[in-house]
Amino acid sequence: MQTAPLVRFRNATLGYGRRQVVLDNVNMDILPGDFFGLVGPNGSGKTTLLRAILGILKPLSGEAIRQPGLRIGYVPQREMLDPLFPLTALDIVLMGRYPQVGVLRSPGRAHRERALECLDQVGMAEHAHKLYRDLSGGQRQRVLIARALAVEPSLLVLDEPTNGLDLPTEASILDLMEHLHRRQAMTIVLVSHVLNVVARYATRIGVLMDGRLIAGTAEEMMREGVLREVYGVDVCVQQIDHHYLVTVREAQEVCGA
Amino acid sequence: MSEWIETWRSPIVQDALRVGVVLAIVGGCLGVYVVLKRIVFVGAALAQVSAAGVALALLVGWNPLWSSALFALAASAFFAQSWGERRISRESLIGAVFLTFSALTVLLASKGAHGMEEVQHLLAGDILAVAPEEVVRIALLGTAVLVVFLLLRKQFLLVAFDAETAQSLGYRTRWWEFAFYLMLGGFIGVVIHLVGLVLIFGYLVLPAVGALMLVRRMTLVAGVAVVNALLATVAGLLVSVLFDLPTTATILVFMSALAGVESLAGIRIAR
Repeated sequence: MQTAPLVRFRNATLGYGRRQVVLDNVNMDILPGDFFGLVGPNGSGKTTLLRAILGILKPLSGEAIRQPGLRIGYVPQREMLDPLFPLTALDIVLMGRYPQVGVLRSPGRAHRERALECLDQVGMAEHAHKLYRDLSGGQRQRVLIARALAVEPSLLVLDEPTNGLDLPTEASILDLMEHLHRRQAMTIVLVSHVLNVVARYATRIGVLMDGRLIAGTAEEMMREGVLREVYGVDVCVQQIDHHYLVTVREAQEVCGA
Repeated sequence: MSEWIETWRSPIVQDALRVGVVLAIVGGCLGVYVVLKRIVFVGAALAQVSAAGVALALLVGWNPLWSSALFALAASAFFAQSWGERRISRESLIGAVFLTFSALTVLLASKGAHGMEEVQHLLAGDILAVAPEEVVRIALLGTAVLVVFLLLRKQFLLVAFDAETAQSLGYRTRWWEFAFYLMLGGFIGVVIHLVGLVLIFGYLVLPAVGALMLVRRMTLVAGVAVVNALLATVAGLLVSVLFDLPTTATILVFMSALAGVESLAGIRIAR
């Protein structure tokens, strides 16, 4: 039996206003249990597709269907948040509980405990009462992931979570994603402009290029021929420890040599 | 001394104190969000648009309260629009609105019965000249704004801090933005013709600046801002009555002094 998708796009045209079409003829399913990597260069329409997945942007034509009652935990780019606000890590994670708290009420003890559990889940419990602006880039990223988990989501959407992080921190954030996906069966959509970040963990990959989306399983997409067609350059695809590594092929280079 | 105490106890000063307390509490709370949302100059522009509404009302014989409130609400709706990618920055637009309505205020007031005197009043205002019936009106409005703000503050905070996540959680951020600007614009619109542009702008900025520099917890910032504003109001009124100084300027000097001291203390604590 086919599992019902959490989000489905059928012949969707995405853009702004009447004239500015960013992505055309988008066909994509996000299925429960997916680790969906969305990759593309800057300006390729990643943010537009992400906003459509979140339900913030309605398609200009075609269909974008979200499973009724779908809860999405969203992790925005860290740079989008203003460090001027004197908010602690716990304050920020509690924001993920607001829809459950209700409009006129304040978060009670149960919500605070849930928020602390989420901080613990991402290894940030000891920093709960520190100011967000005093945390490192990797710690801030974990706090934002904890906030997304506090929503108790069926789908976790992360926008460029490894941007501006050093290599060990990037690896630890991606390991956390893999842990959430494998151990807690979390459905994940990870958006990045770096193919290798996505290729390393994603089970399905969508590449955005020239206003269109090409999507498939990691095995289908991580082929030298497919990537050559998408990016217009010769590449080498290697598999190391079940993870893909893509490099641009130099002239005369033999892949894997 | 007894003469001074008598002056302090006079109904005029007591009414000014009551108005000042309302402005301090409401301005202190809203001001924290105005400063954090980086919309300080939206506050100034809203106040200037309201002032133009008052000037127009005085010229054509309308009720200044309704006129300034209507102007402020229209401006609130305008500023609450999402700006997105346009040809000019939001700051430029705020500057353009401020300048346009400053000029309009002067032009309209210059044709009024009292000419530039009205402009001076709109800018500097006079908290000591507030009529008793206006005190009740300001207190009622202030209470209403404060209750709405306190009940909805967590949504205002989320939308101000991270609008995109708020949208992903199902909040209609444009409406929440509009609600905030409506509160802000409505309050400014009602009080501006009584206390003047400069004083209301001061209440929205200076107490919050001091509080944000001094304390490092969101839960404490609004409380400290309100205390700042209350201290400056009482001290400003006292000193202005005692030394026969302009009240608005004296209150603002106390606000600035508090903000300065708290900024220095905050920097020392951070080290």
